[in-house]
Amino acid sequence: MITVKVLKTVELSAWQKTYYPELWKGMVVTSRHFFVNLARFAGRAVGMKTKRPIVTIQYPEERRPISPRWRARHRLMQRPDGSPRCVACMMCETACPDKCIYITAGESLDGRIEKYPVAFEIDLLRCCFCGLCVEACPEDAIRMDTGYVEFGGYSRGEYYMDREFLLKDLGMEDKGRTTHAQYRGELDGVVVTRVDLLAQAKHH
Amino acid sequence: MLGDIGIILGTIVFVLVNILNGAGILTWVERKQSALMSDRIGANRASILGIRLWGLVNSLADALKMIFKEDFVPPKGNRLLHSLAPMFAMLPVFLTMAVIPFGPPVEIAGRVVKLQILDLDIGLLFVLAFGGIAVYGAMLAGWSSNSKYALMGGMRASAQMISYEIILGLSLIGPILVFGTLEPGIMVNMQNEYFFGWIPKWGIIVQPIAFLLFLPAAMAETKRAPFDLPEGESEIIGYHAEYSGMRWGMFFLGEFAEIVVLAGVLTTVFLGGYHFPYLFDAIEKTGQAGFHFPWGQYVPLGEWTVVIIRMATFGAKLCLLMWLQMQIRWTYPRFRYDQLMRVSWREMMPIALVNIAITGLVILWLAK
Amino acid sequence: MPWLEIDGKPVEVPANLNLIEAARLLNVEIPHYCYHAGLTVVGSCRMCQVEVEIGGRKSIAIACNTKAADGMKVTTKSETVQKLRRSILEFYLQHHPLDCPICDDAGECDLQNYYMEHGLHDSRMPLEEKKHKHKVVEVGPHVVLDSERCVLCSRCVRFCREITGTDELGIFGHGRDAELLNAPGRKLDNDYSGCVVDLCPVGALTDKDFRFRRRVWYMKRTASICTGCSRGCNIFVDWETDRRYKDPVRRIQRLKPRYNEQVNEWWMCDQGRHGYSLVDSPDRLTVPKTNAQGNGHTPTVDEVIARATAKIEAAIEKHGASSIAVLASAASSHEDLFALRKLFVETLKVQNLDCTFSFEMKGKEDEILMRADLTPNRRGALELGIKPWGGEGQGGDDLLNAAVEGEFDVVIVVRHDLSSLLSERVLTKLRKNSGYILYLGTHHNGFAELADDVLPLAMWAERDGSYTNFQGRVQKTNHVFDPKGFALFEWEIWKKFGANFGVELSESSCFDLFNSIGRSVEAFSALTWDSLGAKGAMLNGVPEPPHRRIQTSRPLAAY
Repeated sequence: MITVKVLKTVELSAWQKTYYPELWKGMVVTSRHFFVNLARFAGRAVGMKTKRPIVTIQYPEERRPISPRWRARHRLMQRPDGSPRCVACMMCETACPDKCIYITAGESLDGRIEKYPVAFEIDLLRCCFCGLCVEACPEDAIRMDTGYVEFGGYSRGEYYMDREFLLKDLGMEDKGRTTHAQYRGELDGVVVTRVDLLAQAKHH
Repeated sequence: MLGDIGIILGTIVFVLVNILNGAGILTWVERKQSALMSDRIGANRASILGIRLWGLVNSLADALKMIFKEDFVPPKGNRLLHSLAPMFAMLPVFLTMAVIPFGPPVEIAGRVVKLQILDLDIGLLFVLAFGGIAVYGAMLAGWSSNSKYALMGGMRASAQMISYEIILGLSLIGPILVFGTLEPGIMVNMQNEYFFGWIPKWGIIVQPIAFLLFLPAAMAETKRAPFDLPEGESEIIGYHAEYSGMRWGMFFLGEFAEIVVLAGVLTTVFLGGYHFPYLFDAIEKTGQAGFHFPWGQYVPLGEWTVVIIRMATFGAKLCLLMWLQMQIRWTYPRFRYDQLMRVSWREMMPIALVNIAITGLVILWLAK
Repeated sequence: MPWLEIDGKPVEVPANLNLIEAARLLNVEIPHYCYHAGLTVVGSCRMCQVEVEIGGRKSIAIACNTKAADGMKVTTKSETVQKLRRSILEFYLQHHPLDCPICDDAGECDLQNYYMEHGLHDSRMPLEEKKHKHKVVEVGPHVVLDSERCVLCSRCVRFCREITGTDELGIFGHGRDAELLNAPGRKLDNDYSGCVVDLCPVGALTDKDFRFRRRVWYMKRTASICTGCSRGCNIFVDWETDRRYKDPVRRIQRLKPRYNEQVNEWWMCDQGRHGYSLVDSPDRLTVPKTNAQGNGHTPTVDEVIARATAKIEAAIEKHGASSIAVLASAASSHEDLFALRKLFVETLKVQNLDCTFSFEMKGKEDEILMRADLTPNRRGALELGIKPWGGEGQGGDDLLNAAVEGEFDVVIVVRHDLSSLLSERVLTKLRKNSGYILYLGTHHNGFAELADDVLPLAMWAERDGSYTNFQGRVQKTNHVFDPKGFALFEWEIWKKFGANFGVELSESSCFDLFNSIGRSVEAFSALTWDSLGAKGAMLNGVPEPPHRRIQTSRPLAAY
């Protein structure tokens, strides 16, 4: 079925056809923004308490808090002795819709925990961050609460996280992560945390 | 003789240094101004040892980058013309500035020095002539690149520039008729006269329509938005498609210099040049340098103070006009090509002709 | 033939059938642990209790030890029965360690299945009060025991007593201390020890070889037969190739016996169970090889075939067909041998051709499954006419001797690894006296180094094929995954050769080839590929053997 839509050209009034008044209106808008922002910047520069002129967040140095429920990069939980809590039951691997988790199970000989992951690998490039692995885990061994949201890399290999890499991440608990209280505070007004990039670079 | 050469060299150096620096800083101003207009922060990431200077360092980084980039010449293009084109685009712009007076004549060591490189009596024709030469830059760049995109960009550019050059010339005829001279120095001086003793006889006041025609036409000559069809960097590809590195940079240096020069011409012809309203020097008011307000008040000032105020005035007017150009460039969307041509030939040209006719008639009537 | 009613549906069943089997006829599954059709009934698990009404008297009875009788009314899903099952399951799970995440049986475990179906209760046993028993006990070279998971059904105990007659396992202790363990001083090392893993309804007994390798739900299952000996046990191939790039070596994860009442019943020997490792062995020949040119040059299949063709043609031109010898193999399928016969016997008139040699490897033989003849298709080869040639040609060992003495210009060897079967001296002589040796094999071995040209062959899991076991039963393997590397089907190679000699084999698949055999060979006349079915079919004129009931020693009557 064909529907016909008749488009009507907007008729300009004689006043608008002279063109300059309309140009002037546009100019007023842009100029107002320019001067208001300029004044706010200048005010800040001399130490006055003006409104934050521009809402842009200077990303690497400043960042908004991430919701604690945010599904960030995975990590493997440890037992008190540092071994992975994972028992290689493959529930996460089974639940994973992207097939990005590869576990190789092994038999441990210490007799306490029979089965453990010899290799636990996640291909982040395949991962869709659905969080089903976390849901599936019967041991609470995998979590996505690291607060890592920056996945830059120069090669595909960097996105292939092995067991040791996933295990060593406990230090991020208070660095990148936000608690619920912090996050609620953020909802009231813009709270921007300044991050020491140098310290973080050392952390990696 | 040696003194004359010294004076000329001095003014040349002064003007060149100002334009080049101005053009460089304008690249930063453009970014920052557009950012403020659209509630952004603008370029600020480049830093030297942590010093960022609100993004000024970015301009340095850009310059460095352009210098060290590969200087590419299309293998089947015309080598000579390919290297000449950027010069053709840049040089006429600087030359145009030669006839713009940026301050009143001053007397140094018994010698009258005009703050102007070239005191030509055909000054405005000189401006138009070198504006015309700038077309060659775009055309040669398009031709010598041996590339379809560049050639068509060059054709677009030359068509646009030639069309708007006519408007440029026609709109200047009004002020020329009014002031009765082509010499910028005299024209500026004539703008320090007043209707009824208090309305300055600035070009914008005696020839408002000419100003409204000249400003867009001149912006079209600079090939900047909303008239940036010749370049259309990201979408329609312009005449400098095959240019890289500093050669490409020269086109843009020329473009930014053109902003300065255009502001200079506009100031000279329409905004009273270096004159501050009601400020007179010793020659004009026979020894009584200073402010002579229309209500009779007189604020005496030293001779040199007047000169400095006038040069500052010129600078301020220049800045205002450059700001205006930037503001226009970041406010209005680009024309379509047919609109561009229609505005020029079917709308601006008749208005310019009518303006000339009316101006002529009025002058005739007044002369009776 | 008693008539009875199960869940309101009337059914006529054979005499002497118990209620579990009778219900199976109606596709009703009565849950059970200890009952197994191949073993004696002990009725110890109490899981199969059903309501039986006979002569107006209603009572609860265990289905495994109740024979179907005329006029019986059996209810398997009544509320009483469900309640009983739930209570019994709770007993079973009272001390269960609940380590399903690390249990290999998870996914095919009867405890799990019945809990989901009938139990679904919350455990009333505090975790820390659960009884602990032996974990990870190596009861034998192939089997690992976890006593905590054991439900004491005694299937494995009965298997070792009744089927193999070796008595390695027993249940020791009383009450909650009862535990399955090795008999003192014994290891579960009989030839069928893997079967106890199949029998175990829970994860108490696990296969050492398969332990922690794959979760069962990842695997796909294809029916096939074991080609390890001339018995041809029916099996399932459990395989997974999705993660090949992580684990490129192993495509077959395990083999499980498949029920065939005339061949192997429910059982399978350990040798066959672990025989799959040859298929994914890193020693597999995956590309054609030539030793004449050497220096790492890998020829294409067509290059090798072209060269071999030239050699054969030259030999025939010079000395006639009698200068060519073919050492065929009884491990090849009917289709391979059919194509071979068509090419060499019918077209080239080669008479020096045989598949039976005295030097061939012999295996262990017993009454249960294992056969000394380790080739899966001896009988099929003989039926197809690959037999000692007698007067006109030479048979078996004579053929080899003649080859060693240098009577042939071209020697073609299929599958036999002569380097491990013959002495060094004989081999050197064979090499020296033969103009050209072409070897078709599956693995790298000494003879592949020795032959002039080598072509790689696909193995049983990589191809379709039919084999006749010693009983005269024609059974088929199924294509599970593609051949490794550039390995080819044997009949494919003969077909390519045939094209060079002007024999156009019109058949382009195993199915077509087998159907052609059925049309042209008397013994196969009644057979087509489709008529083989899952359990195979007998050769023309061979009577169906009676159903087997493997039982070697005294049943465990009173347990």
